[in-house]
Amino acid sequence: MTIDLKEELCAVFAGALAEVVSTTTGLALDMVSTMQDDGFGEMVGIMNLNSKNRGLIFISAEEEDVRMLYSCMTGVPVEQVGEDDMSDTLCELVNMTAGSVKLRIKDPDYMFSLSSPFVIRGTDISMVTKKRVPVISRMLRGEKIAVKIKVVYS
Amino acid sequence: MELDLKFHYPVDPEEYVLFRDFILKHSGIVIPPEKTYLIETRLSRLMAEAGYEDFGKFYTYVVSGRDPLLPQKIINAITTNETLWFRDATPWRVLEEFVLPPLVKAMMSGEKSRIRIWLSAVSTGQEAYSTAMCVDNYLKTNNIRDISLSDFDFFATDISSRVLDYAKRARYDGISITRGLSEYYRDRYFTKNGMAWELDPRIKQAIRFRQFNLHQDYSEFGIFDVIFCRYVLIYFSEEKKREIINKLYNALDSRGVLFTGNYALYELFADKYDANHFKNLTYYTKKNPKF
Amino acid sequence: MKLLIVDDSAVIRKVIKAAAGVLSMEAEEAQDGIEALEKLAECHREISLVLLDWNMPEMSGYDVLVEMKKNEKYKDIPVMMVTTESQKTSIVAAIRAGAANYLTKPFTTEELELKIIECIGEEGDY
Repeated sequence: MTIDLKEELCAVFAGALAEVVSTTTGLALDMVSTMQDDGFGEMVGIMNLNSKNRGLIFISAEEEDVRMLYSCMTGVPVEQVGEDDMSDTLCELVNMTAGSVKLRIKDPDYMFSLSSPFVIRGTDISMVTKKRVPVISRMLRGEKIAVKIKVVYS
Repeated sequence: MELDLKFHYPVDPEEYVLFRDFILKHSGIVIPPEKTYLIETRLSRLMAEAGYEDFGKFYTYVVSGRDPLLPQKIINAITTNETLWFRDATPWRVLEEFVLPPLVKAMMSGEKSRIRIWLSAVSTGQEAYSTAMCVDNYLKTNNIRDISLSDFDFFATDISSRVLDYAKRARYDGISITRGLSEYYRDRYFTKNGMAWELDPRIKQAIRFRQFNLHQDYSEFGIFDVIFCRYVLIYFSEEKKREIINKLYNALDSRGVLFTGNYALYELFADKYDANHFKNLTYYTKKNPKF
Repeated sequence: MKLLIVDDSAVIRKVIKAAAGVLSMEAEEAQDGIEALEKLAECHREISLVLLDWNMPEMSGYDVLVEMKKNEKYKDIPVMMVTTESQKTSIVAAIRAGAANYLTKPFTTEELELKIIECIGEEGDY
């Protein structure tokens, strides 16, 4: 993957996530950095992107931020947000982000179909990949929350 | 049904150009190439309903004029609706601190007979109602009794006719009511009826709504003390931006204030307007006002 | 007036329910296509509009739409697809199969309410 293509894909994925969050929650997110570390938040929503270049998308955030996202999406107070609600929120974010990205990618090698998203949870989750596997990472931050997005193509 | 990718025919470049030009002609709005997908997501339903599955053929149908409502339906579908209360908060702070005090004073002294505020892209109503609530709250908290909402003209327009019908109901769901609206305003100006939040009829009735496209002529609207034209100019071509900024200049009182949203547009304004800053907000006033 | 909301995501069902509430509409919920058909069998007479997600486990929303349009009892109930599938081919396929409207995710509640009104008209008591 060339650096240009990587940057372009990165902008597409992160831009789609920001748009999804802003539409569904009213929260504005700015792109703050390319993440140097391979860290995740405490909750990670994952989807397999079925395409010629097989990909995985990871959207993660701290539990507190996922609660806030749910609260803004549904109008339910933060303290009433349950565990299932949180997982569901991340799954939907992944689903909608991947759906939005799908429309913006016309390169047949990267064009994908959606699959069922799932969530993993834990502290200090890290990812180790082989050297040449391209990993795209971005951190998006707003006034109230921060969300990380990673995309891996193999 | 699994969708097979090989059946995915997106909008091709020629079709993109046809619809880009159509939308530009009818609304002044520009769809940049990287947003080609908007044509696909927003217009496919209208295309399918008209019985087509190819944007080229659909275009021929659209311009044939056989469905006279179609151009407005296309504009309604393509425009994005922003839906926050008091978006960015700062314009209403400027209103309270710098704009309303001299205007109210001029009203009291008889120098002015009416305060006119134009909200030029109100979408589902939040910006217009935020402004009327802000004014009403300002009058109340400052114990100004000689002037009321009826001394103000809140003129609210949008290019999309369907969002204005929504705005006129002044009824919001439990989710949209949380977007930017503080409990202070919610508790004072809204009543919960079932699952809906209904706006105080005084505020609702203070707004005059009208469907209007910013690239049309607005000389008949008269002169305004405040114009909100926020997060709209970016959708227009450079040429249209300049044209609109000039027309807004003619519609603005010599001491009037123009809010445009948080964009770096100053170069476009530099000839005719002074940029004023409040926190992260830039707002514009006319150069050399004739006091 | 009652909606049938068919979506495997509880968050989405909750958001749709809030939007329906502002239009004074009640809602039945189903988590997948099979449950949707069960709900329809139970209470199709009360349902004025079905909101269907596309990608769901067991049976897709598109398949539910096709089944509904084949069934004399359900075929006149308007259906709106509410889905992340936002490509031309999906939209054309759904409209051809008889969907009355199409809303792509993500959406705002205002947009959803406008689309519901487009489907059922201004019949509520608002």
